Parts: sequence; structure tokens; C-alpha cells
Amino acid sequence: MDADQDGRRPGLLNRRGLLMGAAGLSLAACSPKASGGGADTLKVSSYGGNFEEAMSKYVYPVFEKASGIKVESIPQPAGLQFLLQLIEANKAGIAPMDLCISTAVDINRGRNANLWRIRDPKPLTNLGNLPAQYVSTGPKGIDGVGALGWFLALVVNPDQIKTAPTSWTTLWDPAYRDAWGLAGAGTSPIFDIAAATYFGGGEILNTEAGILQVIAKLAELKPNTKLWWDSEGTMQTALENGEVKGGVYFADVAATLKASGTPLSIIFPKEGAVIDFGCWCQPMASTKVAQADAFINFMCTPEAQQLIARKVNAPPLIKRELMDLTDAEFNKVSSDIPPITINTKARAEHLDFMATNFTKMISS
Amino acid sequence: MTDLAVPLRAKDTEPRSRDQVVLAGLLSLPTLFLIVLCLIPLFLLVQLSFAHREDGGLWRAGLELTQYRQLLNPQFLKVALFSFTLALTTAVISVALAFPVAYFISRMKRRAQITWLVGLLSTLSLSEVLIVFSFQVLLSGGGGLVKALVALGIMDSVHSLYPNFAAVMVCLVYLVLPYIILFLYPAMSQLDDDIPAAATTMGASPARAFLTVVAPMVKGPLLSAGLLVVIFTVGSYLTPLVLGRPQQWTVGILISNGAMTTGNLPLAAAQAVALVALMVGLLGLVRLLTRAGSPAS
Repeated sequence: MDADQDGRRPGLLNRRGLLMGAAGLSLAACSPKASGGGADTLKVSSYGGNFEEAMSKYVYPVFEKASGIKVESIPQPAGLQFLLQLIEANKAGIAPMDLCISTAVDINRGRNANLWRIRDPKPLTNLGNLPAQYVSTGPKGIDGVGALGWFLALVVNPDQIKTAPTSWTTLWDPAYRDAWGLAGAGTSPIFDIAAATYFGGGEILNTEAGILQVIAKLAELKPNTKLWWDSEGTMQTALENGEVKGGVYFADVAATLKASGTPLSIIFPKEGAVIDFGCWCQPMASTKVAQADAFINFMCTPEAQQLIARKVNAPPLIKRELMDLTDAEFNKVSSDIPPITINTKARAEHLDFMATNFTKMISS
Repeated sequence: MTDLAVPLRAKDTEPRSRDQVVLAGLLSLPTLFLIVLCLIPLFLLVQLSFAHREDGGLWRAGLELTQYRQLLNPQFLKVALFSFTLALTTAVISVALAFPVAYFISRMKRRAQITWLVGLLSTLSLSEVLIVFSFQVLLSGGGGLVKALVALGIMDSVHSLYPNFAAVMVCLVYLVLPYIILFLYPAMSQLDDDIPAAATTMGASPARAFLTVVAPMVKGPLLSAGLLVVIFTVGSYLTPLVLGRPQQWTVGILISNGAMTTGNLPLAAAQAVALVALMVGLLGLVRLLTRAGSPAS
């Protein structure tokens, strides 16, 4: 996942992304049955920027050739605004796209609004390639299938921190006062980092008492945190200016920054980097079920996932042994250290509690 | 005056009613716009604030006070109080700075006045986003300002000048200053130099003349300018977000976090309604106080 220049990222606010998305959706809503086209076209939206460009340039053509279905690729903004507009369009019977990418939290929100089409697993013969955690299953069945992942890693400026740390515990080290930029939204993966590093895993976030324990641990980060970032652009500026010595950041964006000259070490700590992922989801109003199934099934093939790793620079979601990626190719986008996964159950059940108490903690 | 006006009115009855029709026609469009684009969204906002929040999901229609009850928690009250303190401080500082600037501009030669006013107007074309991120670069440790201050011996070591309250304050003042100078300029232009001169002739010291004669004459515009700044800045979002620490977060940031991150739009709506209510309350209070202060007006 990248989308670095445009700074669009799921769950994180980006004004420009939202505005562009709003404009895009409104336009789409104006034209009746925007998902029209021929029977053999499929309108697929994915996070705008490098990611969408790379997907439409390298990955979709292979699918088009194999299936005869033409893919019309459209950029998709991240953020809640997109989902809200999609829900409204869907209610009006309009599908701005046949497939979009959605994160676990948004899948859950959409599910409650009856937004997503439930998939029959039968035509999805390659579904078994994906570990179960990357298939989104609600009470009615499968409503999202893993599309791509992205990592949040530990980054440090090697000019300011000579010995590269190997553990997330460095964030808590009193030697680093006012040093870090950490993801500051109330739903931040910093919860999962603290849970995995100090509480033996994310299960602690399943209860309110456990969440408070984790927040107490996160409170110890306050003296070390200079920036609680919300939009990735803010963190990017801080890293480029040397305003922060490091922190938690998207591994792929960090790699792009590093390639353009910002001094950065990107570390997959021994506890694992945090993996987040998006799923392919189909709005109810889109009726191209067979074409969508064909597309999703193709995306679960080793062929497609290898392309995603090699050309889109995103970590593949299917099991590594199914692919022929070299160690160098694999390590460029992923790691053998098992990742920390985001506890989506906790977000589904205690989101407001987590956000309220987190905000209270950081702003007091 | 009335003696003169009566025959005039009687004579102009017909054209006047025609004027009124034209006027009504002209006003109907803005009124319609106001209703469609302002009142309806406001109504929807209020309606949303009573909706039922579904944790982890979105919300469904309802009529409950859950969100308003949440506003009573000390956390929100603290942030609301901070937002108003920030807005009032910005108002005091920016009016104090803009007042002399506007006064001096109004006393310049016409050509110089125009240059200043055009310069001020052109700064308004910069986007807030651009200004805030420029301040971030300016106040950073690697920025020219810090290096200059260190070279001059004013700062001991190179370190950034943000995030903190002062950085937020300076940027907000920068953002509102052109508006306030332009707002005060007409009032300053109309100020008759002969009046303080007359006071001085009557024996008042220049300071006394300024305080007892000039200041009361511009009290109204200064107060209005201050209120304008408060209205502008009480909902500030980007500046405290980028240049402040979470301790400097405003209601605007809470609303955005609630709405865009957690998807708790009913709570965000209730917070927005509370902010509007507080603002209206403040305006009402100011109006009461100024009326009490000057019964003649």
C-alpha cells in the first residue's frame, strides 16, 4: 500500500482525499447507474495515488487477459466520508463502483447499514490461499475478501539514533524524551503495539478493564511523544525536518521517503510490525456478482499476489509458500517475523470507549 | 425632520411600493439560499445530535439525550473552556496589534494606503493549510528563524519552537490579523483628527485625549473586531492540530476526531450544537453588556 504523495490512508483524515472523493462520488451519483458499461466490465476502486496506478498498470491487465472482463479502475479516498456517501448511494440503488477496498472497521460499519453483498464461497476456489484472518465474515456470511496489506513499522532517524532499536519497548525508553511521532487517533494501532509488547497479545483489548490497562501503559509514552499524528502528511513533514527522531509509521511510505533522501531506518521489531489490510467488498447495488467473483478469485492467486509484492510494493496476504518470491523480494515488502494483527473485535465492540479514554489520556 | 419627511412619503407612495416589490424579489433569492443552505443543514445537525449511536457501527435515527449527557463530562468542558480562552486571547492580541496598524495606515498618503491594503488583501489569498504548514517549517529546529535566534544569542541551543500554546497563538494571530486590520480601517479613516486636537486645546494631555475622546469613539468597532476574531477562532481546527500538543486541542478537533475517526457523528453533532449555543450565548452576553454600558445607543 502506498498512496504516499496524496496521503490517503484508511482511517486517517486527509482533507484533500476526502474532498476529491466527495467530488468523485457526487459525480458518480449524478450519472444514473454509474456501474453500467457492458456486461463484461467491472468498475473497481482502490486507494488513490501510487497504489491505484500500480494496480491498474500491472495487475488488472493480467486479469483482463485471463478473464476477458475489462476493469475500469477508479481512485478511492480513505476515510469515513467515502463510506457514508457509498451507503447513501447504495440506498438510492446506485453503485458508484462494483468493488471497492474497505478496512475491517468500515466493513463492520457498512454491514450494519446493509451495504455489502454476501459472497458465495463456491466460485471463490482460491479463497483457501488466504489465511482465515484476511477473510471478513459477518453473521450472514463472507462480505469481504483480503485485497492487500500494509505495515506500520518502527522508524528511526539513523543520524539522531545511532544504534537501531530492535523492539517496540524503545518507544517507552526514558532515554528518548520528546523523540517520537506516534499515530494518535483514538483507534490507533498503538493499542495493539502496547498490547502485544506488554500484555501478551491483543486479547486484553476485549474488555473495558483491559483497555484501561493498555491506556495506562500508553500514558507512559506521553513524555516521549512530540507528535501524536493523525494525517500521515504531518508525520512525513516531521520526519523530513528532523522534528521527530522516529516513531510509528507506514513502512511503505517510509520506504518512499527513504528513497527520496530522508534519513530513515525502517525496523520490523522483534514483537512484529502491525499489519492492517483492506478487503474487496461489493456494494449491494452492484449486480455484477459473477464478474466480481472472477476478479476476487484472481486476486487470491499466487500470480496476482506476487505482482502486488513486486510491482505495487505491498505485502502479499496469501501464504508465502504458495508464491515464488525470492527472500529479497519478500523482505522488501514484508517480514518473516509474525505480524501484530489489529484487534478488530475490540473496535467493533468498544470503539467509543477506546477513543474517549485515549483522547482523555493524551490531552490531559 | 419628520415635517419634511411626511410630504415626501406621501408623494412617493407609488414608486415606493414598486421599490418594495423589487426589493422583496431581490431578497427572496438570498433568503431561499439561507434557508436551504444554512437552516436545513442546521436542523439536520440538531436532529443527528439526538440519534442513537451504535458502537463500532454508525448510528440510527432516534430521540435521546445520550450525547448531550456526554457533553457534561469534565473532559469536554475543559476543552470547550480552552477553545474559548484561545479565541479570546487571540482576539485581544490581534485587536491590540491591528488597532495601531489600521490607525497608521489610515493616516498615510493615499498611494501608501492603497499599497498596504492591497498587500493585506493579497495575504488573504493564501490557504490556511499552506500558512499552518509554513509555520511548522518556520518554527522547526532546522528552520531559518531558530538558526537566526541562536546566532544572535537569543536562543541557547537549536530546538524547535513548536508544538506548544505560543506557536498556536502566533499562527492564529497571523491568520486573523489581515481581516481585523481591514475591518478596522474604515472606522479609523472616519476618525476626525480635529476632535483629539480640540480636546488638547481644551487642556487635555495627548494621552488623556486619546483615552477619554478617541478610545470611546472607536470602542464599538474594536469590540466588533474582537467578536469577529472569537467567532473565527473558536472553532479553529488545523492550527492547534498541527502546531499544538493534545493539551491544546480545541472543540473543533474533538468534533473531527469523533466524526471522522470513530464515526460517532451523533456525539460530534451534539458537540457542534453546544459550540454554536455557547457562541450565541456569548454574543447575547456581549450585547447585553454593551447596552448596559451605553444606554444611549
